[in-house]
Amino acid sequence: MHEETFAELLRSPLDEDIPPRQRSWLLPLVAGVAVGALLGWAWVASRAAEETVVTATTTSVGEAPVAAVPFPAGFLRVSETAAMRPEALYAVRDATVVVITTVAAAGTPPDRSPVPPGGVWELRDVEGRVIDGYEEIRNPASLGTVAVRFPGADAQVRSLALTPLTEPEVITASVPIEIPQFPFTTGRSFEMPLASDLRLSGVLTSLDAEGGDVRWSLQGADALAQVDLAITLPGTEGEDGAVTTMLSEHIAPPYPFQRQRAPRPSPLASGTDVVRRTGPEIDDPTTVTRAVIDVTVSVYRTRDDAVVEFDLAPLTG
Amino acid sequence: MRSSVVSAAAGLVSGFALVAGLGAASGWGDAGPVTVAPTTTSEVVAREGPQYFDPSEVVVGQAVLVPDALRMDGDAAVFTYRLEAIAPLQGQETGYVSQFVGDPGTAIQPETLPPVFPASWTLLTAGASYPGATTTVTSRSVRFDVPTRFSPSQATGLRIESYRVPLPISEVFVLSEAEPVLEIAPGVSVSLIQIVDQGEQTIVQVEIVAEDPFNRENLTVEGVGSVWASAVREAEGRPRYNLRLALDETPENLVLRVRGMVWLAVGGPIEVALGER
Repeated sequence: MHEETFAELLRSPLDEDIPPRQRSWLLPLVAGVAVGALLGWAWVASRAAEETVVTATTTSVGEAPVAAVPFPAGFLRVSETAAMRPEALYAVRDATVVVITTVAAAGTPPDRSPVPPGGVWELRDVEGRVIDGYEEIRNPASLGTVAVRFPGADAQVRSLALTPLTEPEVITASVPIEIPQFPFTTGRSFEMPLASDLRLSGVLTSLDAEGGDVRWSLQGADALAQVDLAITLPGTEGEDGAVTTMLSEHIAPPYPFQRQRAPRPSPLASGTDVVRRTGPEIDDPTTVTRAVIDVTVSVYRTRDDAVVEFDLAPLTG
Repeated sequence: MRSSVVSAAAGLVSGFALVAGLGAASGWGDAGPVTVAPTTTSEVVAREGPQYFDPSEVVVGQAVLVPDALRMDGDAAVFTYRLEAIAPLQGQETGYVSQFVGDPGTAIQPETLPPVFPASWTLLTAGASYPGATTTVTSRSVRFDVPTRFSPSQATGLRIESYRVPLPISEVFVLSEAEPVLEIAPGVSVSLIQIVDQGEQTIVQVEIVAEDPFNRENLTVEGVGSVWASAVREAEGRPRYNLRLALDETPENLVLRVRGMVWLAVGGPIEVALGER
C-alpha cells in the first residue's frame, strides 16, 4: 500500500485541520494526563490504606519485636540461653517466698536451651541486710518456675541476688563401709575426694531394711552439688542374683502409692538424702555386714563474676 | 521540544488533580469505622523484646500468648488464643504427675505441661468493659457476656487482668491435733481431718483445702520416714489422703510432706492484641 494512503487511514479527526508542527504538544499532554491520573489514583489508594491502618490501630496493642534483644522485658540473663524474672513475692507462715519464671532466648528452641541450675540466692532488705539460708524449690510439673524460700516473713525486701553456677562436672566415686550392726541409727561416716580443692563428706545416719538417710556436705572450694546415691548391700542376693540396693528417692521408682516421684533437689552445699530399697527384701538382717556407697556428684562452681540482682520493688508495691 | 515538556507537565498535574479530587470527594480515602477491614489484625508497633512465634504475641510469665480471634458465639464474645511455653526444656526432669493424665506414676513429657494460666480478663469497648474468666487450666478461650447486638468490631482492647504460674511445692511439715491446719501457699492449706486407731496401725486422714478448685488436684501428701506404710487418695470427692502409720501408738507430731504445684495468681494487667475479628 502506498505510504500516503496508509497515513490517511490512520488519521484522527482531530488531525483534520491541524498542521503537523502545531500538533507536537498533544501526545505529551495525553501521556501527562494519564501518568498524573495514575499517580493520583496511587495517592488516594495509599491514603485510604494508611487511614485503614490508623482505624485498626485504635483497637490494637500488638507489638513488633526489636531485633537483637534475646529476652523479653524484665528478664535478666542468667546463662548463655536463659533469663529469669521475679513474678511474685509472698509471705507464708514464717517464710518469704520469691517466685521466679525462666525463659529461653528467642531463636533458641526451648529443648536446646538447658534449664539453668539455679545458684546461690540472697534476699536483701531495704536496710541492705542480707537474708540467706534459702531453699530452692522446683517440680517437674512447674515448667519454668522456681520458688526460693527464705526464713522470716517480716522483712521489707528490696532485691534478690543470684550467683549463677557453671555447667556441672559429673564425678563418680565409690566407697565401701563396714556395718557391724544392722539395722542401725548410730551413723557411719565416709569421705571421698571430688577434685584437688573439693571433697564430699557424708554420714549414713540410719539404715534399715527399707531405707535410710544420708547427710552430706561439700568441703573446700565454693561449690554446690547434686548427689545421687546407690548403696549396695552385698550378701543380700536373691534367687535371681539381684542385690538389695538403696537409691536416693529422686532416682528410685516411685512407690505404687506415690503419685509423684520425689523431684531432684537443686544444687546445694550440703543436704540430706532419703534412700529407699529396690531389689530383694532383706529376710535375714545378719547377712548385712558391709555396704558399697556409689556416689554420682554433679559439681557446680559458683560464678562470682556473674552475679545478677533482681529489683523486687515492682512486686512490693 | 519545550512545548512537549510543558504539555506533559500540565497533563500530569491535571490528571493527578482530577483523580485525586474525585477520589477525595467520593470518600475513597475515608476508612470508615472498623468495618473497612473487618478481619484486620491489630497494629504492630515497636516494643522492647524479641519475637518467639508471632508479631502479635505477648509474654505471659514463661509463655507467650498468640491471639487467634474474637468472635461471637451466641450471646457471648469469645476470644481464642494459643499458649506456647518459652521456658528452657533441655534437662527438664520428666514429671510423674497424675493430675494431668489420670494414672498415678505415669511419666509425661515436660513440653505437654500447661505453662501458664491466664485467669481473669477484661474486654474493652469505647464506653464499657466486660469481665471474663478462663475456667480451666487447659482452656484456650475466654467468654465475655456482652449486650445483644454486640459486634467484635466494637472492641477497642483486651487485657489479662491476672494470670497464674505453676508454683512448685515441696515442704516437710508437722501437723498435730493441737495445730491441725497448715497454710502451704496463698489460699492453699493442708488440714488434719481425723486419726483412726486400728490396733497395729493408725490411719491419719488429711485433706488439701484450696479456695480454687483447680488447686485441689495437683498436690500429694505422704508421711516422712519408714514408719509410714502407704498414702492413698480417696477415690472420689474431696482430695483426702489416708496415710497408714505402722505404729501402735500415734506420735504427737505427725511429720508429713506435701509435694506438687499450685497455680499461683501473679501479675497483670497485660494488654493483648484482639486478633482476627
